[in-house]
Amino acid sequence: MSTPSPEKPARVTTSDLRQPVARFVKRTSDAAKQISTSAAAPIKATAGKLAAFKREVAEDASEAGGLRAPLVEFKDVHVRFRNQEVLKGVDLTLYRGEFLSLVGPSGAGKSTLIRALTLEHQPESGSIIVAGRDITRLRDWEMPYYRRKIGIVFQDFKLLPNKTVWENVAFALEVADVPTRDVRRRVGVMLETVGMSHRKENFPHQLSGGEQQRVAIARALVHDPKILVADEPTGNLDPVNTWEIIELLHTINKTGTMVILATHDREVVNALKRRVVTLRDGEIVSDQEKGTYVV
Amino acid sequence: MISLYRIIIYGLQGIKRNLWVSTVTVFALMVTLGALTATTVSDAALQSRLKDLRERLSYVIFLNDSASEAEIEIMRTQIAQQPGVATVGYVTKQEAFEKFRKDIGSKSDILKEFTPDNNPFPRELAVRFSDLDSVDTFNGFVLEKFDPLIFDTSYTKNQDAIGSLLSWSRTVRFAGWVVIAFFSLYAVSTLFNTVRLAIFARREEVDIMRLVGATRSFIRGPFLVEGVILGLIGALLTVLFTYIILYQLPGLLNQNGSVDSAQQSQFSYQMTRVVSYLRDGSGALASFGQIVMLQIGMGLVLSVATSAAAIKRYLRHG
Repeated sequence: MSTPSPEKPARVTTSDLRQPVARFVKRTSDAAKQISTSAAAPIKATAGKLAAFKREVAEDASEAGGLRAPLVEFKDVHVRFRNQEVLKGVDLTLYRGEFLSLVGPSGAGKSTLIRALTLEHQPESGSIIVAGRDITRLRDWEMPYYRRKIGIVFQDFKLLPNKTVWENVAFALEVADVPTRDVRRRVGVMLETVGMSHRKENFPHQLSGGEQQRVAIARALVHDPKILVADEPTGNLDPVNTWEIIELLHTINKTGTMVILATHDREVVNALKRRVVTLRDGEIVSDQEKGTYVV
Repeated sequence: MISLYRIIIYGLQGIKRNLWVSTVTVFALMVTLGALTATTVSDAALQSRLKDLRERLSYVIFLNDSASEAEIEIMRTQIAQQPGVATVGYVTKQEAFEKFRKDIGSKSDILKEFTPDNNPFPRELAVRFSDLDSVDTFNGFVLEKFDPLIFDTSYTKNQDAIGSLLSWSRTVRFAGWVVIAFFSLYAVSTLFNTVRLAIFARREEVDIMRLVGATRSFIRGPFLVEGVILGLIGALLTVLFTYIILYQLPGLLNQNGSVDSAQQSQFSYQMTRVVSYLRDGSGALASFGQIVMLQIGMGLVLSVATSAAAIKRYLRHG
């Protein structure tokens, strides 16, 4: 057995994360205080831009404030994948404007639940009602139109490798036949919101992980979805980028977009102090209003 | 309309930003079209050669000097009506003598023995066939009907040659089709695999497009646009190469002494034959224009069809 090389970078430990977590908790604990402090100025600026963006593009901006109205309902959802039952009768109601953390060990069914919502996995039985419509009954041709109503962020970013930052974000609007003038305006504002305007001509491989995820978030939000689904969005990021992305999601949620965050990250979940749903072996084992990571 | 514009732009971007894959696809297309053209042209050239040989092989009826011109005319008319007969030519005694003199050469002393009054060469009816299969039947008909007028026929002499040419041409035609079928299958499957690999490498792109809310036609569109453009580029390059090989290379080889002269003249001769055959417009491919049309048409059809087939599997589910 060889001894570790002295040049090898030190492993990131929980103690290393204490400082950014503390900073994030400080920022999110009291919204009013946060906005008034100079330390939170970047968030305030971003939130302002995002709110302005949403006012600009939303057909009904007042919807953002209509909380506690169910937006997504999973009813006895069973999903089978490769001959294995991955979700075993999930019942879950999500409300407008909610920030929900979906936690659980690997293989618990977090990603499957999210993929059922994005129609990547068809449930074997049960129904998923989104804005009053059962999406499990959508026909093939209706699926693209449904997907345009939700924003999806992935662990591996899933940016189109041969398109620039600008084109990646614009793509989400272009597939929906949005006129070129509107595409230009909305993409410009969105890239500024996520702080990526200066890299708009770059290709994904020229960006860091954190930057790629910002672009992915911009793409997910540019068509102003009511639901943002994030499947392990910080899984490939270092601690600093992780907190930047979580701050961004938090800010997005404050403007009224429902955020569903599937994550392994205990620190993130505990710092958020929002609703936490815990899955284990394809079943919901806990649902806490201001929960913590208990797995 | 705006979608169509975007689809075309995406298609062009796809080619530019996947330059290596695009180049490989164009190359595969050129090989496919080149192979198809080469086999088709070779087969056409071979068929022209066979046609040539068949035409040269004639059935000559040597006529008795006692036969009257009227009898010969009746015979000629009846012979011309026989199935498989293309032309019937008449050679007078004088013409037969001239032909002999030409064959033997002017230096020979033997010519002095013959004069117009002492001309032993019989008159001839030279029959050419459009269908060599009917020669046997024709021979029977001639001997049965016109035996008193006939001094001799060339049939006995040419029987073996006719037989072997007949079987050889059948074999060559069959082999030609087998080779065309084999090459076509090989070339098309190679092209299909290349395009499939190119799209396989971009399957994640297709997945992402789907998840962002792109409809099937919006995803398929740019790939088909790429197929059309690469198909056109591949076809035009193949046309250019075909033109160089058929029309320019023989001339260049003749000027350049670096190639072995026997090989060079043989190659030039064959190319000139093919080109003149194409120019004559006597074969299946009447002209170089037809080759161009065929190559562009095949290039487009092959490229678009393989792209559409390759992407289909990634668009099966919503």
